[in-house]
Amino acid sequence: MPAFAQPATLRIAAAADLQPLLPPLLTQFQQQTGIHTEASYQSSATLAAQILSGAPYDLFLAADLSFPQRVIDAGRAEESQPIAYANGTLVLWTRNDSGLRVLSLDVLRDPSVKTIAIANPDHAPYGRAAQAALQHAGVYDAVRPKLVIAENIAQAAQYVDSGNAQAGFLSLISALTPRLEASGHFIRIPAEAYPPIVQGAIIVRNSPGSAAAHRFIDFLTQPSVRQSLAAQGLEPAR
Amino acid sequence: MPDVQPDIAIRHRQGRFTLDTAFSLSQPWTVIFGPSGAGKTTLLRILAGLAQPTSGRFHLAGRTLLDTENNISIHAGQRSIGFVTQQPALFPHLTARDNVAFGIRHLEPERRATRVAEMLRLFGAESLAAQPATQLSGGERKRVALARALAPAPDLLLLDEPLAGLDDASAHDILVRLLSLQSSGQVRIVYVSHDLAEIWRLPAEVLFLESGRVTAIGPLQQVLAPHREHLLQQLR
Amino acid sequence: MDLQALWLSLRLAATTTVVLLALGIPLAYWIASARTRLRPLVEAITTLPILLPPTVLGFYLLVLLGPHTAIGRLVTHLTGHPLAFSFSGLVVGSVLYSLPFAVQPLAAGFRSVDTALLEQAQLLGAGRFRTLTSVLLPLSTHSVIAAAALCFTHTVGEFGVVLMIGGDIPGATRTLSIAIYDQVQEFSYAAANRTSLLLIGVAVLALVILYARRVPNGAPNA
Repeated sequence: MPAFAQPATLRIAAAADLQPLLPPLLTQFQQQTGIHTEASYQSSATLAAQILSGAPYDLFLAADLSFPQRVIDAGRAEESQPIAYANGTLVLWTRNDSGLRVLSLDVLRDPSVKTIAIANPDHAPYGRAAQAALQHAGVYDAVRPKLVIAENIAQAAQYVDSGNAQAGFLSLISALTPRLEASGHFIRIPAEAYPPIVQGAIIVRNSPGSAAAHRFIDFLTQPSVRQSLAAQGLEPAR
Repeated sequence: MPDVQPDIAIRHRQGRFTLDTAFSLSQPWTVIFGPSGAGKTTLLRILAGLAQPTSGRFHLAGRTLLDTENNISIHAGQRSIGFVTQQPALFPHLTARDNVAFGIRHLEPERRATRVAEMLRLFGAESLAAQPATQLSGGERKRVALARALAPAPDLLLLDEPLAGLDDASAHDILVRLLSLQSSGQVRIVYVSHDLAEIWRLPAEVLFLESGRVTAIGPLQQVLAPHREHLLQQLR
Repeated sequence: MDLQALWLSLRLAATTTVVLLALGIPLAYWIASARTRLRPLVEAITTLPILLPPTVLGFYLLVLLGPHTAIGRLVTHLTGHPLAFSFSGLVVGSVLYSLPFAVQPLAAGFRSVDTALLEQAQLLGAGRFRTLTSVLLPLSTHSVIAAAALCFTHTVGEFGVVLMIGGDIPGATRTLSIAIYDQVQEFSYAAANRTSLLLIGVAVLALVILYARRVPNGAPNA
């Protein structure tokens, strides 16, 4: 079939937590390969639902494994298993002027901490991890009335950055962004406190940008790219 | 000769012409006569306080209601002036009785009810008291509107073509009642009309208003006699 | 869970409607009768919420009513807690979000009342308040009902603002629309469908009740 000469375009459905670090990466990819990219950042749950309804994405970079698995189960992915491309890290973050000098899961019980932001544990991977961490530390029941639930990790950051919540469970990625780094401080939640946030990807079956998607996955595994991602909070997949 | 200032002096620029009048309410009845578009309704609205003139002065019953030079303009509700417009503008959601009572809310209920009944009787509308305003005929609305305007015992009553559109019998009846008002009451009446036959027998001083200017002033029949001749000539 | 969210949505809609009528009637009265140059500006500002995406409106509220602004600190001082994540916060957000839906029908209704009636009221000694209550409101009940119906349903369906400033707290900010959204996000489509039907059914019922009370508008004198 004759086709118009078009630069190849890669359409990416990207989880909200990737928003701080993906854009410069995409520019780099475009310079390297000449492939034009477009990314849409939403919660993994929303993106999965959209892909299942036929949204024209080529590549799905999710924040966990369950959402790519749904796409696989519906027969819409090329792979039979999600490609683990990175590991997310959970942090507890607070503003510098919040009055919380020392951060710990235990200090969240203190009455001076009135509100704690968390992404929705029912459908957001970082929210699930946060809930698990609180349970692991044995403070979940005490802290539960203070939790305010954000739609996704980006919104959780908004809640705590605007000062409406005194502390919040965020991704390491967002904590390392210039803005949040300047305005607050954080502690990493120990890895054993929550099930690993393995971020998985799938390539959408029969999508026009399938070849480009493969190239992007390869690009993500380049050593220089992995180093750059790690420095910004996204550990390479183990 | 001593120069007596008239009670009313209004200058108002509007559209095609300038309204420029000066007169006193020396008689109980003052008729403002003139062709349509001469500025009669505008003048009434200015006197009532519903419109502000370019410049003017208005004294009534010892009070200064308007003095543009000294920035005085008494609010419409406080001028003690009743205004019956060409279209009666009764409150449609109220009965005739409640319409008449609208301006005398400050009276205690008994006195108020008496006054309302008195006013309705004065204009032959006592049987209409409980009727919703929307169910009244044109003539009936005029009667109620008159009763309403007079209920607060204003110093001045402005009537804008009050008999227009009425059948002869109603018009005659209402006119007789208005005339009987004068023999007893303190209220001064300014009566606007362009219908010579209607006003011919009124015991009034007339202002002949043409294109905004008073071209003649004096006892009605005297001033309008030549006009009447002219009209009768045309009919022959 | 659904019933709790339903009750919350109804409470929010009812509270917002009452507040909006209380604020909207004087505001619409001013807009319908003012002749200053300020009027078009005020009218434009009250229409603004229609233009703003609800999530943007919610975001600004989050920031403006947070602890970093004077207003936010005042609110916390008065109520003991910040506005976000509370029912009263949702009321504030909903009032702003639905403001045009109250002011516009009310102002249009007031404007449609014959000026001659307002002038007579003035001449007969009625002040602005009495003119509003004795003449304007009785003659524009249909506009008041329309405004109430619009505000109520608009708030029942409200999502973006609640999402931004609500915090999804059951019983306080987890409205029916948020509940549906959560169910969709969890891929519980059957539950989402049930909740959606509930939402639609309740809204239609409320509207039917409201519209059944319509009073025919008194015709102005010919």
